[in-house]
Amino acid sequence: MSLQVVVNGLLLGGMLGLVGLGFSLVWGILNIVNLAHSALIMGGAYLTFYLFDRLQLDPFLSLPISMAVLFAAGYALQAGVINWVMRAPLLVTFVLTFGFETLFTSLARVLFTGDGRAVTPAYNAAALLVGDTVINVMKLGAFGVALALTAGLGAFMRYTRTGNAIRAVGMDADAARLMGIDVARIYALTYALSAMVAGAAGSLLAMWYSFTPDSFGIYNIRAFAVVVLGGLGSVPGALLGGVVFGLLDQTIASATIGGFQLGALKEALIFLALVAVLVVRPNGLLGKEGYR
Amino acid sequence: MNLAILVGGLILSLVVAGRSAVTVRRGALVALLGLALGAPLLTPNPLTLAAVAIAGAAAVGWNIIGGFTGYAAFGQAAFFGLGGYTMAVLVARSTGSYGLPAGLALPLAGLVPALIAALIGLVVLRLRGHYFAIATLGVGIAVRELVNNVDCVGLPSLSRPLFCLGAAGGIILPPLRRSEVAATNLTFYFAALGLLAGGTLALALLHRSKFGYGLRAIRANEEAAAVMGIQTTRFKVLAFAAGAALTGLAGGLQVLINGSVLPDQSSIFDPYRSLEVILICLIGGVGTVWGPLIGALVLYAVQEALTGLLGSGDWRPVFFGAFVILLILFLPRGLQQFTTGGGRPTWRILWRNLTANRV
Amino acid sequence: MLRFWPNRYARPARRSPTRFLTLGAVTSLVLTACGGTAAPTVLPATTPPAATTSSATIPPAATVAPATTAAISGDTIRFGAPLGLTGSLNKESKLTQQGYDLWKETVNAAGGITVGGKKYRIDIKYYDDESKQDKSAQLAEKLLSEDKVNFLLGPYGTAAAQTTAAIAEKYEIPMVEGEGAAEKIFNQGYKYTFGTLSPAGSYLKGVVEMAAAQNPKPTTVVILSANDAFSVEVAAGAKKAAEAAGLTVPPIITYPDKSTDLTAQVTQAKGLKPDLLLNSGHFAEAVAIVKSVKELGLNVQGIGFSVGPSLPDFKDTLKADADYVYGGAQWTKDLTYQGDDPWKTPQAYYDAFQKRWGNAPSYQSAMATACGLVFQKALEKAGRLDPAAVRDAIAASDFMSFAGPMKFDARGINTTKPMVVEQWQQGAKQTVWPSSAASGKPQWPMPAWGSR
Repeated sequence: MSLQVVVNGLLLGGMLGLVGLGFSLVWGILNIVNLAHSALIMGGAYLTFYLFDRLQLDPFLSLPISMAVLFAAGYALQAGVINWVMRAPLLVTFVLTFGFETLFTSLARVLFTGDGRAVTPAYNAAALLVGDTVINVMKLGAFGVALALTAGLGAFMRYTRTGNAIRAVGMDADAARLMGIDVARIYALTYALSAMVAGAAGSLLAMWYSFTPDSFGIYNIRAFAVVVLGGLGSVPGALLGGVVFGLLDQTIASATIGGFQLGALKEALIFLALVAVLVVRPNGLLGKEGYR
Repeated sequence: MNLAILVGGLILSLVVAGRSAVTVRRGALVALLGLALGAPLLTPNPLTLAAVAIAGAAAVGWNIIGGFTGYAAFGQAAFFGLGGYTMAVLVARSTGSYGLPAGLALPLAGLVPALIAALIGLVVLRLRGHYFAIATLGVGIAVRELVNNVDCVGLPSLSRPLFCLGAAGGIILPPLRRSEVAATNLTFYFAALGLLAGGTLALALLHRSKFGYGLRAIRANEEAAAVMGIQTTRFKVLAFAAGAALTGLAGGLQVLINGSVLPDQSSIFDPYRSLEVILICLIGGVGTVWGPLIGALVLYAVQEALTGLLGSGDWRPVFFGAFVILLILFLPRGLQQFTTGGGRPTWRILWRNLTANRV
Repeated sequence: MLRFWPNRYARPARRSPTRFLTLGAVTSLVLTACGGTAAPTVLPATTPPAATTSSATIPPAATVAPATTAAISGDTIRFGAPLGLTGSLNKESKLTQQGYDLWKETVNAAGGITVGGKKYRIDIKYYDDESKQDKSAQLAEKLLSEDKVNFLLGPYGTAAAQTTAAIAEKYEIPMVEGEGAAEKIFNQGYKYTFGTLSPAGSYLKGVVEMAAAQNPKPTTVVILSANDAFSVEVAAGAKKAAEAAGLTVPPIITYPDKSTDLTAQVTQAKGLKPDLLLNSGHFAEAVAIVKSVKELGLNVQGIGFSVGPSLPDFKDTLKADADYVYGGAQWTKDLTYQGDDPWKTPQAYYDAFQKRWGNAPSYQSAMATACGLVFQKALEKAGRLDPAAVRDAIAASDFMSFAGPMKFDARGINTTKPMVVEQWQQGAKQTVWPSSAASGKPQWPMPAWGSR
């Protein structure tokens, strides 16, 4: 496994970790599987694209804007709609978020058309050279952002009152309510945070790949896999899961066993591995019961 | 016209599933059967209705594992596709295929997915809730990719391969002839209808059988069921296999209608199928006997109505998404709430549904 | 006693289904009335052929609704086309639809098609198959049995074309399509499907032949391929062409279809030291590969794609990085064809299309319009509206159009039309191959990334 493959895997993994982080937050605290996550990522991507295209705003600088907008959108979504079905069974929230995903994706198709978009700042090909290995600076920056956000979110969850309130609600919502925590508001806040992280992920992804409204569906499944690998209920777990996923992805993609290319079977192998992890160690690498 | 048939069938099935007097319900059932059998007289293209029946039959399959047993599987499209591929391999006349008559191949198209589901189920049914959902989702993706990459499989001692799946190119079935078209379309329609009717009958029998009671016990509380002596693993695997068989049969029929099969995501392995079967059961009532039928009728009636009102534009999926959201907010238990649930369709019930599960 | 609030403890009255039924009946009537799918106009049906003993294993039942060929209603010939107007293929489907409609409007404005001395208008009915193969088949059946269209125009994409071809064969109604190039469709022995486009295997052939004729001549060709029916055929064709030209071709690197991240594959390609890098896939992959190639600092003599560079989005997305990239195209506006049709030259078609729709035509649009032209010429030649006669006339098509030569081989696909090669040169697309039809010369080799 060459160093280039490792580097590619790490960089990709950081991005996926960010994608999984928001997903893990909602799943761990609210106990809902948020299929609208990919739509939120899409929102961040298109926002960054239009800011870059119309105002020539550097994508890294558009991060705070997309994060703020998605935070507000997520808050509104949770407080306005999802809070109504919080105590319903799993299937209900699954389908509700699926409905939102369909709605937002098709709205995007109407508003933004299916044209391929990408954000290509002038420095997009700047790279560090370590021997034969190329490390793209822009992707490295994205990785840095992912690390920073993960660290920031982890610190927020651990050291602030609100963060502790969120963790408390994740552990036992009724007990938290008895302690005086406004659970509805916390739910909305958590979803908003998840949306914010998703928006950041979207903005970064806009720099990596060209996209259309339909390109984001895959991130729901990737987020699942990342969270399962890293363990539900752990902030660093999401990042670790992402990195493991990224490394696996890049290694399998270029591997050849006895002349047969594994790359063509990449998705199948990764998901079989996912199922195996679920069966053998459902808590993932770093997961624990509840959200710590 | 199709829309009128669907709505008519919907009203009749709601009555059948409801709590009116027995004579009324029997009458409605007879009317429903009459409508179903006579529909080809009312519409020149019974295949549109056949598509509804196939969706309903696939949903019956999901209902067994997701509704009765409470294990919501999110990868049902895999079995739909496996059934389709089995049919294609058995019916086609290219290398690696068997050229069997379609009538003979259909039951086998249900058997293969059932066997595969049994094997997968042994591993995957240990998981619960969200984890089971994701595992089945992952299996669905993996199956499609595997099929996409397998061309011919054979044993070295045999002169011809065991079967050929055609890898990315898929399998094309021998074309029908012009003179056979009308008859074949009718046959497809009645086959799909038979599948749906048989599936609903199976659900009804299941509902009353010991096996069915066992499944519902597992849904209610698996530990308690085990304590009461129900062999949960065996029951779950059987349910999973049975569900896969029915969905596979529906897939096999769909491939016959299409005339070819591709491992493409826009073809028989379309992941939307997995969500469609769940949606259908949700609309009609998860875990009920008439749920899949009612749900399929409602879903397709809404889609026909949307196409009629909005044409073939980009706005259709937007309204469809909005419909799904409103449905799940106001009718999370589906129309079952008004039929077997015994409630009256009032605004108050809808409001209560909305607010019942608040934070 | 005043009752403001209902008595919660009273037993509910016996539920009467009447209210529910009336509501349902009213709704269904309203919906059916508003529904756009009006009952098909009653057309005089020809008598169905006598039921023959068929080798179909399903015993023939009494025909209830005879699926017959519809006679022409009044003075209109009706075509039908299922297209992916929503879903992942919506962009290309819209371009296809614009191509069909431009033909329809141009023909109707000129008075229509003359068949057997009588003038007929053209009408096209579209259905949205949501980019799903199952729905394409279903909608094609609907068009033929419910809407009773006279002929079929092809859907978008190989998957849809595969199913619709089977339906056309079933009903014995000719279908001419320009958007599904997989040769597998045409190897089935279908008699009623024709493709105006060049087959999949030739998509990258032009790029290979062009490269082999350049100086310095490339030695190693690395091919990346998406793992879907169409792309696999394209890659196999490219490999064959490269080996025929005496180039070394390592095993094709395959990746799952609809992949967005191709860094690993490009890294693997880099290790093989390619002179010519080819990809058989779709737009997003083309963009991803160019980005990866630049990022990894892979310097090659040329990069060629089967799909991607022909779309203006390619340049919008990649900006200056799009330069020097080659793409196979079914048609470009710079070709020097002189056609026997209302537009005559590619440039004239381009201008007319741009004027009508406000956006430029893609080669999908050109191929779509060509389908219409094929039907038009065949109808005029056949002099009758009988599907079998029209089918035979289509099979014998042999004319030059603005989209290239239209002639079908025995299987029904257009092997006379060459795949041309375009290259982005300083922000503008140039047609560079074949030299007989080209408007520019290839800029070969591609300069190193550092020195651009």
